[in-house]
Amino acid sequence: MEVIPDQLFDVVVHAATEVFENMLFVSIYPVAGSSSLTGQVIHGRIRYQGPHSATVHLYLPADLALRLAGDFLGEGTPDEELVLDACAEVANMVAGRHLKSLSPDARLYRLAMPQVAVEIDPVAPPQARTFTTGRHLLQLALEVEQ
Amino acid sequence: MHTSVLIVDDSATVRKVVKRTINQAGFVIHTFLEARNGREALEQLQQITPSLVVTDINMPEMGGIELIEAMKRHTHLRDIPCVVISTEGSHEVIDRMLELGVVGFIQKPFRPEELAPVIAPYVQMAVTTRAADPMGF
Repeated sequence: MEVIPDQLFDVVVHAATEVFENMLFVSIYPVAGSSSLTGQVIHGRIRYQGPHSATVHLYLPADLALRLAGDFLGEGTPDEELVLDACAEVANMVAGRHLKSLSPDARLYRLAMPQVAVEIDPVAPPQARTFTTGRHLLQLALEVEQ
Repeated sequence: MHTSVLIVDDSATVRKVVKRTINQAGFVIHTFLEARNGREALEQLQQITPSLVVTDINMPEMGGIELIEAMKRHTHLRDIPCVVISTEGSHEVIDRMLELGVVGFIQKPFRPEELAPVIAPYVQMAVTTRAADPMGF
């Protein structure tokens, strides 16, 4: 299978857009150029294996993560542990939706466990793309293993 | 009839979302039990027999497939219906779930309305206010 990272990235962007709209009730829009997130950022990531293997990275500023987790859980202000858990789950769902798009029938891919960390001024992979909710920036990256 | 649902997922977020989704769908669930993995679920199953188990697949320590396999080995657990909600959708896992007699599979992300018809045969719907109170008070 020929892997074209840009095309794969478009698929993962579509998956993220769908998860944000359907599960988190937030629309995200691409931002031209590259931006980097500063301050406290929640980094969710999940690796998958199959005909090609890759890692999906999601970077959410802490205040956006708090708001999204609250909306997702139906709670006003969830504690930090729950916010991190929600971010890991969002990364998990984005990757799951991405794989469903890649292989709706064949189901050839296996997902690893999602990981999550709090990072200060994180350095996203060079291919990361930036999005906005209108109020907050976030970043998404797909690191394809060659 | 006392209705209870055991939700097994290492994500507290998913456990809360599934619980809220079941409640909002209008089912009468008297007790929600929660476990973070298959091992914790089996410990709970020694104490109580739920009406339904809703489980993830990928979990640390003991995953959903191992949990259902263990349930099928126990006479008093093998008839408890199991629904799987997971991002996992590989052929290998789907085939194994079918072999094990899983009654429903929902791939994440899921819409709330996808869950209700899958669990409906195993739990009771709430009586509507109108039916419970025909005088309309």
